[in-house]
Amino acid sequence: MRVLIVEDEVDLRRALVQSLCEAGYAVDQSPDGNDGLVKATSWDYDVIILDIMLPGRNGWDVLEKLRREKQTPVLILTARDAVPDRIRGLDGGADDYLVKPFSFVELHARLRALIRRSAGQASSIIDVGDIVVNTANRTVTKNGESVTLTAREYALVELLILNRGKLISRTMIYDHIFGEDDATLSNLVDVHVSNIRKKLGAEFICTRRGQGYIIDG
Amino acid sequence: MAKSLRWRLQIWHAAILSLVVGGFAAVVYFQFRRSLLDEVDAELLSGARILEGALRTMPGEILEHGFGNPPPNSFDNRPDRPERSPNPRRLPPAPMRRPPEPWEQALRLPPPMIDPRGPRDQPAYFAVFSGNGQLLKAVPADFKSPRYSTRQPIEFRVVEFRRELVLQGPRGTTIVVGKDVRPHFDGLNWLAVQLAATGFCVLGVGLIGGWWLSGRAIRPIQQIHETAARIDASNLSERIDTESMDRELKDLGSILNSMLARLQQAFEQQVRFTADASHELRTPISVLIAHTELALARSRSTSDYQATIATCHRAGERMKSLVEDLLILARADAGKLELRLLPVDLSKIAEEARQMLRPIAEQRSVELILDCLPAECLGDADRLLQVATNLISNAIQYNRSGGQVHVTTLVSGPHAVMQVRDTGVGIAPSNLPHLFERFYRVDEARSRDSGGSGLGLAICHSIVEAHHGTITAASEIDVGSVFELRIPRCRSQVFLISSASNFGQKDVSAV
Repeated sequence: MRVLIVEDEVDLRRALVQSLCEAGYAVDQSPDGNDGLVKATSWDYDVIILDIMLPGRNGWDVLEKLRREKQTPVLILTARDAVPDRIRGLDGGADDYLVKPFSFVELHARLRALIRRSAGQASSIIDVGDIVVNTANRTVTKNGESVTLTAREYALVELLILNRGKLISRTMIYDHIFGEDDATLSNLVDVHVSNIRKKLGAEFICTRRGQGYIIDG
Repeated sequence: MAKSLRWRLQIWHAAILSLVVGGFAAVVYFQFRRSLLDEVDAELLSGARILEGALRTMPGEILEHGFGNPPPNSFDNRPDRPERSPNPRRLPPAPMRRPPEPWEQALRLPPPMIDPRGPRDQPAYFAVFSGNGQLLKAVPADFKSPRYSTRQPIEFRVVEFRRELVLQGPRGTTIVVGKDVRPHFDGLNWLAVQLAATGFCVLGVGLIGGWWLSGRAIRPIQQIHETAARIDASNLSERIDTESMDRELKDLGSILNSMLARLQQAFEQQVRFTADASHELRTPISVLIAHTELALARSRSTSDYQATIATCHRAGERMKSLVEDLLILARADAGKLELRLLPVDLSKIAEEARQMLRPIAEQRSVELILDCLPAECLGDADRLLQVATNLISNAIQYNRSGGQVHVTTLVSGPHAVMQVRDTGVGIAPSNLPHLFERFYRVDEARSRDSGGSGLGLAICHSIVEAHHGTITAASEIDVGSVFELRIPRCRSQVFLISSASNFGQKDVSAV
């Protein structure tokens, strides 16, 4: 899943990037409102973490401009804790509002919920045949037995399973599981898919040649 | 109840009304009584004058010594009346059956003072005493009296129910004319009852009316009270409706409203300040929490831990400086900003600030130019240096690359002046009035690396104010800004006194 962090506080941004990378997200970052808006409107992020007090263009403005173009889930992460601010944020098109200082555990849970719901999935446990994917603790089981996936592999499985029944193109996969700083090779997706098939069964992911991949529900 | 305005009004009203009604009744009563007595007195006096006239025709011996053997049919003196001082020179008894003298006739007939108003009236009585106190004549005959005497020619007196007139007659005689006034006073008593009844009625109606009026009068006050009671911290924007009020209460309402407006402003300022302060503190705290949480999430390499600790240290430093700034402002607000007032030269302070800021200026390629004349004032050197560095570092930070910062110090009238002029981007006129407000940022979210906490200029303002000086800003977009601070010079005695009294114990050492 690809996340954009728009936050001007260097130290905090660094911690956010590190934490999300470690959780398997592909992370883009932006130090000010203008850059953040450009990135947010030019990519289909799975979720955007947006600060309000930003140099250049404040968060309210970024949100307003973004909502004219995209439905991307937005979590406002700000030090402004007043109720009117929360209302303004949520009514302005944000999907969630978290006040600093925050706990990473909570932030991760909220991000997962946002991603899940934007994919039309209410539960954090998704099963396809004998394979069960738990998006809350990021585990995959086959026939009740735990299967170990790398972070990238899990991210790919999660992307496909949240969009179950939809064809996911290779470009989309690149967009969602690799961040802007990841050095990507053109055949990396194929490698990951083949590894997943080895672990979860060849029929789990179908290939539509020349188009992309799909998990059939 | 005693504290109730309405009750107090009512009590005062009752007291005043009772006084007025009571006073009126008393005046009426006594006037009426007076006029009654005047009537009686006039009657008595006319009777007395007739007697006096009769006595003047009486032989002098009788008047002086009394009747030795008064004629039985002409005198009603009781036979058993004691003879008090028998006079050896008394005249022989008058011959019997002689025609009565005119004075005898006058004395025999009761004086014409039967009141024509009717039988109700008691007849008058009279008595005549000789010069030596002997009763010469009395009507009716059973008239009993001690000896009358008076020093005044005419004296009216009230004895029991009788009104009496005592008159000095010819040759030392004393004439007493009296009348029972009970019938007259019956009317008077009736009047008193009527007055009392009317008075109580008026009082009762007045009190009820007063109670109603006072209720009406304090109703708007109650309205104000109800509105004021509704207003608390959560709805300070509410105002008392003064439209329908009378002028006096409207004034009160307007005063309360303007007070509420000030209160609301102060309250909102306070809320904003607290929100800003907590916001400023939240950022370093989030950094602290985020990094420690991240470091603790799994085991890390030593360099990772070092990086985390360094970050936490930075966040701590930032909180420390913010807390210190807030503390300075809080002290300044409480008037407890401790200043060590000594003669200081602003030009030396400018030089010191330049030394401190030269590296930053060089880093940003800004030329720092000092044009300083000696400008001595009485001030706290450390605090003034804080102001100077703040202004100059702002001038450097918001300057363009290759720009200049001019620092000028001079003496102007009673002030020592320092000017900091930059060639930066300038400040929009709409932002100028707010420049010295706490947490105000020209660009709300200017990167905090350069923007600091937003308290710098507010602190400068507080420090300069504590010095009884002024700080002003002028600016032109794309040309630059000028900050000017003026501090009163040493020789101002007024400043010495006022600062010493305002700031308590101070290190005022020299003039």
